Amino acid sequence: MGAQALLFWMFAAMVIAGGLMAVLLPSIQQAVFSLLLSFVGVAAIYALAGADFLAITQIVVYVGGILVLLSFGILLTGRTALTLGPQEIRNRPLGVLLGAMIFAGLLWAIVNSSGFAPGAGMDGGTTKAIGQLLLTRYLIAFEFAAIMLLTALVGAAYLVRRTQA
Amino acid sequence: MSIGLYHFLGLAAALFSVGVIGVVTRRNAIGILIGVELMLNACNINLVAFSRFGGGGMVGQVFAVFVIVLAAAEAAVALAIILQLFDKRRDVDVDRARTLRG
Amino acid sequence: MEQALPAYVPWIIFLPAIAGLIQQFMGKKLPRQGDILVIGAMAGSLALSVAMLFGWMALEPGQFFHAKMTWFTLPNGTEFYLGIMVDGLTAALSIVVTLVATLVFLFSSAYMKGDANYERFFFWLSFFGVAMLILTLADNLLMLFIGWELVGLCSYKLIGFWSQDLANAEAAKKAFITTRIGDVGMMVGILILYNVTGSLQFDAIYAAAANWEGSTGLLTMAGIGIFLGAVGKSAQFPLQVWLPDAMAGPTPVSALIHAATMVAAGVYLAARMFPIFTPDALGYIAATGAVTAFGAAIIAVVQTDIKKVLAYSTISQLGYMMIGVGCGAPWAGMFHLVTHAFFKACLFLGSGSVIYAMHHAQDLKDMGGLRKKMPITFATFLVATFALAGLPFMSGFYSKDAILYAALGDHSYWIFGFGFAAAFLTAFYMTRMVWLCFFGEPRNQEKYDHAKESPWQMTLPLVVLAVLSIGVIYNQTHFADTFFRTPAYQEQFAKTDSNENAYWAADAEPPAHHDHETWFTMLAWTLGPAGIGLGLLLYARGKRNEKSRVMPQAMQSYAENLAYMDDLYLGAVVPGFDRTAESARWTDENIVDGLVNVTGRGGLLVGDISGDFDQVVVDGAVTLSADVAQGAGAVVSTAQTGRIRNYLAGAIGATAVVIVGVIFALWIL
Repeated sequence: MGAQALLFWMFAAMVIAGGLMAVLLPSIQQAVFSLLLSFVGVAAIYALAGADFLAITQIVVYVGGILVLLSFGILLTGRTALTLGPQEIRNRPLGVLLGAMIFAGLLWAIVNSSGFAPGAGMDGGTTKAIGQLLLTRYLIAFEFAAIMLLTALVGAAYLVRRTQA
Repeated sequence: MSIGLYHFLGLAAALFSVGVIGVVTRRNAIGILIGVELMLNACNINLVAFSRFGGGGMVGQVFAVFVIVLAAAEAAVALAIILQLFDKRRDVDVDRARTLRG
Repeated sequence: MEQALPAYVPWIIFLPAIAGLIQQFMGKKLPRQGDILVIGAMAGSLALSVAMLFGWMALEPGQFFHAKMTWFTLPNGTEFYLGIMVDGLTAALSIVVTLVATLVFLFSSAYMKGDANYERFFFWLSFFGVAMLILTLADNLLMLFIGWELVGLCSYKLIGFWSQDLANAEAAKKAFITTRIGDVGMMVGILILYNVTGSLQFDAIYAAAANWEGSTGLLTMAGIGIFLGAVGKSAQFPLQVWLPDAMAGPTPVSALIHAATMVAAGVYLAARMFPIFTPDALGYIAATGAVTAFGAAIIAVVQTDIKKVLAYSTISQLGYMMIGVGCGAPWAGMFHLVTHAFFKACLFLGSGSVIYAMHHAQDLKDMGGLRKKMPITFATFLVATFALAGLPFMSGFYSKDAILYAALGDHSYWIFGFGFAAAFLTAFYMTRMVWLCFFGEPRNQEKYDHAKESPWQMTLPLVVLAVLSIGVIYNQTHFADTFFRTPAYQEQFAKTDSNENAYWAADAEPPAHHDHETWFTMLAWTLGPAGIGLGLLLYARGKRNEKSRVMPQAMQSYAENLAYMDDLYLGAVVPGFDRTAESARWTDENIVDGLVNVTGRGGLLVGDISGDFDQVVVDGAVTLSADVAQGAGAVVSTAQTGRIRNYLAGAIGATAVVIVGVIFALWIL
């Protein structure tokens, strides 16, 4: 196996393992931390695929933002969140079944698809290209995303406001 | 073997399924959120893989940027809601939150 | 030949009709309760009738006015008309009706003063006028029949006007029912005519009668049928029983309806329908007339109520008119109708004046010597009596003369004899009545002292009518010739090629009015005075009063029991009707009402069933659908667990199924 393949499989394993642990571990705290593992692995996958900007963004936003957010969530929801225990996981057979079904379906679709030529690898940094695209071709989407973020911000702030008691 | 498109796609499929398991299974609201995030990540991997191998150009990556952004926003709002839920009920068990029972 | 009708002629009918309508709805509120309106309308009709008369007189002989409009059409195409025909008969009768009516209306304004239903009286008078004029001016049998029935109705209402007294109501009922019997015969006659000729128009019937398509027997039956209507209406034997009882009505009514106009309608009908009477029918008519004339005259001799005397006298005179028609001289009958109308109305109104002065006493036993107290009434009464008795130079002389002469001309000697005897009796009983009422000593001093002459509204009509009873007027103007020899069937009356089959077509010109045998003239001149002489002989010496028997016992009993006719009806006819009515009542109560009750119960049953059906089936269906909806909802709502994870699982599960399903489908295909 080439080095690339090895790296790939290693990071893939990390991603899947992290994911599995995140969904299967009873303790939510542990689940969040395994999520960290998964996210980092995903970032590495991005890098392997030549999306350097995206890898960094993944780390910054997901790990640095979302994961922190989740941790704060756990913190703020307190002991009850932590003490759910074994009853935390329910319907495991159903879940596994559904997951398996979807996986099988997607796999079949992948296997039976054709016509995708391996594209050329991306050389050089993508940051500049992405930046350019964002501000020219996908400008409107960019702006909308900004508005979306604003809306989410305001919405979230509103949702957690302390009503006058 | 050289890593090709299908490897990435297979990885994404697997990650997506895992996310599904999480969503269906978890009782904690935050747990469900975790599952959702995993699914989103799987989509991102797909997008990037197609961008790299499928001849789409940079579109895939740009799209993935947006996905990340929106995932962040969504996580923020979701957490806000969960906190409100917790405020009202003192627990985050979604099974207990069934006032919409018909 | 037809001429166009002058436009004012329909107003002869319309004026009193409008007055009547106004009277009906607003009578009480009008000044003087509407009597001026009614009198004025009838006077207007009189004026128009006079105008119509002059208009008619300007025509050539054989011409007449005619106009008609379609009233309704049967589905098979036959049309029925309303129309007006004006020939000599119509013109003369129209004047008689309107003139007598106007005078009687005027008379009533004083006679009925103070009556509680004053305005209603004038309404019915006006309505009667309208009906009589419809009858007179009609141009077809249908319209005539309508007028016929309407005058019957008005007669009923007016006879029973003081309906609080049961006897009056009974009399009204008797009048109506008896005339109804005659009307049945009339309807049969009309139907036969319609069936054979296909039309009810007079001109069509006249033409058809000249060339009758059916059998002679059928035509005779038609003729007798129509005559039966006249028998009822004109109180001929055997249907005369209602007229004396009709005297229960107010005296103006008796004068107008039962002396001058309605009872004359029968004679008018006979004259109008003369062309259809076969010799057999005519013989029957003449016989009826003769019997009636003589029989009623005998009864009149013993009557003590002054109105009853006049009633029987009327019956007798009507019989005379029928003799005229039956002997082939309808003009003679019509002539007598006109003269009789005037002098009989005068007599009735005169008796009304007496009754009024005597505070509504009607019996001769309360009267006597009134000539000193009521001179105008007495004078006019006397003049009219002379006319009725047939004294020379009075109108009645000429008209009776014409009738008797016609009887002779027809070689009906026994009819002549009856008529002759009746004339003698007429003079006799009228003398009796006049003497007992106006001459001699008063039998009821109290009433006598209070009596005085009546107001001008009463005496003026008396004077007018008395003047019209003087005969020279008629003689000098050749009244009968002018009016009654030119009816609408004049064309066919003279024998021509087209009607040579008609038995009634005359061969030659009828003889001139005064071309009589000498013996007949002598007889005519002495008949009246002889009767009067006998009357004076028996009564003037004061030895006899109104109850004295002056006839042989057989005749007296016959007269006193009113020819036993009332007993005959009550014994033979009425029980049969009562039984029929009784069984009809039984049928109605038990069968018809039973049927109605059964239907009612059936309806209830259906209603119950329908209600149950509605409750069980319909409501059940509704409830069932509601339950189904609820059940389905309950089943479905189990999915609404409220659990988020269930929803999530559902969503994802659906996705998974779709994916797998699509793949599966693609794989198979």
